Order: sequence, then C-alpha cells, then structure tokens
Amino acid sequence: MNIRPREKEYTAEYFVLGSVPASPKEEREVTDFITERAALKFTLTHPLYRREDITDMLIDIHRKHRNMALYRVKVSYWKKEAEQV
Amino acid sequence: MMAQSMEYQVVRNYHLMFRHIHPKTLDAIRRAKEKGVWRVPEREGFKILREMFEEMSAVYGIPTPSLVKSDYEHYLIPAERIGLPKVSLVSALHEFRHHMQKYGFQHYDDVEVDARGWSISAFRLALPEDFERAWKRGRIWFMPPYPGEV
Repeated sequence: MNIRPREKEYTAEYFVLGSVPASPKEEREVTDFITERAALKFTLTHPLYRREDITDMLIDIHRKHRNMALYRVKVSYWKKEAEQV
Repeated sequence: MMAQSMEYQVVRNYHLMFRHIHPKTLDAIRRAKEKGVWRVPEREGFKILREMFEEMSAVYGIPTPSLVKSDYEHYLIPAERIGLPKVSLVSALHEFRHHMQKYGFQHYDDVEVDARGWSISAFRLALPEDFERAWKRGRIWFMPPYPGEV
C-alpha cells in the first residue's frame, strides 16, 4: 500500500474514502472515521512522531460519487512540549 | 515506511507574519480572556469560544462556524465545523482562520502557514503579555525557541 503523503511545512496530505453524511449525527461519525484513518496513515509515514503530535486536520471533499466521497486531509504535526494556550 | 524529509522542517516567526489584524477581532480575543476562557470549566470555555467566533464572523461578514468537542483539532470545510479536543484560544483562532480561508481571506499560499501566522499574530497583538509568557513556556506550537532559551 503506497500512502506516501504530499509534504509541506509540518503538514502531510492524505486521502481517505468515506461516506457522505446525511445527518449531523452521521457527520460526527464520518468525521471520527476520517480523522482516525488519517491519524493511522500519519503514524505509518512519520515514525519519529506520535499520534499525540498531530496538531490539526483540515478536511475537504476532493471528489464525490453518489453517497461516497474521497476526502483530502491535511495533517499538521509538531513535537509538542506542552498543550497550547 | 519512511522518515519524513527534513527539508520541510522550517520554523518561522509566525507571530510577526500579520502586523495588521482588525481591531474588533483583537477585542473579541481580549473579551474571551476577560470572560475567563482559560479558567472556567470546559463546557463554559467552549461557550466563550463560540461567542468569540460569532463576534469575529460578524467582523468579516461570514457565517459563524459551529464548534464541537472532538478527539482531534480539525476544521471540516464542507460542514463549516470546528473540532477541538480541549479549550485553547490559539487553536480556536487557527481553526477559525481556516474558516476565513473558505471565504477568500488568505494571505499566504500555504493554508497552514497562513493559519499559523494569523492565529499566533492575532494572539500576540491582542494579548502581548500572555503571548510572551506562553511562548517562553513552549505553549504555542510551531514557534522557534524563545530568545535566550535553548
């Protein structure tokens, strides 16, 4: 499986396939699924970092077909010394 | 598996990247502190951040994003929803900037650089003493080491 991300400054970009939510409840579930999948991909491609070093995820729909979508997720990371104020 | 390339490990002076931010935005940030965003229980802290988003959205004439508690800090662009694992003023500003970007407010090409620059600069301009203290304690991510610190 090739999940080599596109990299920018402390940001890696991944794609995750998921359903298109039909209700706010589904939206929460789909978002949890997408963030978990993106976090997993991040840990596989960034062995020097931990899941806890993820600072932010920017999620957009890259492509959509019927009730499925390919989500683009930009995962930012930083070696955290402490929680942000 | 592969190690990340070091060529991307750039540290910028994010706090100096925006010199002029709308005074009403800075007022909204100061008001969030006055209401006790760092002191009150989490539920109330989230309420204060929602009120701050409402004020700032009015400044830029854009819809107010929703805010939920989440395992990961995120902004879901299609739903205009911000997720935060805990109350953080700088993180809230960062995600709000992503919301602004959706409506064309973006100065730097890289959306993350733009959001880091805007949020950290806004925090410094609104609350300079809190900014200095937080920077010194490593409580602002992506910042270079505090001057004089290793």
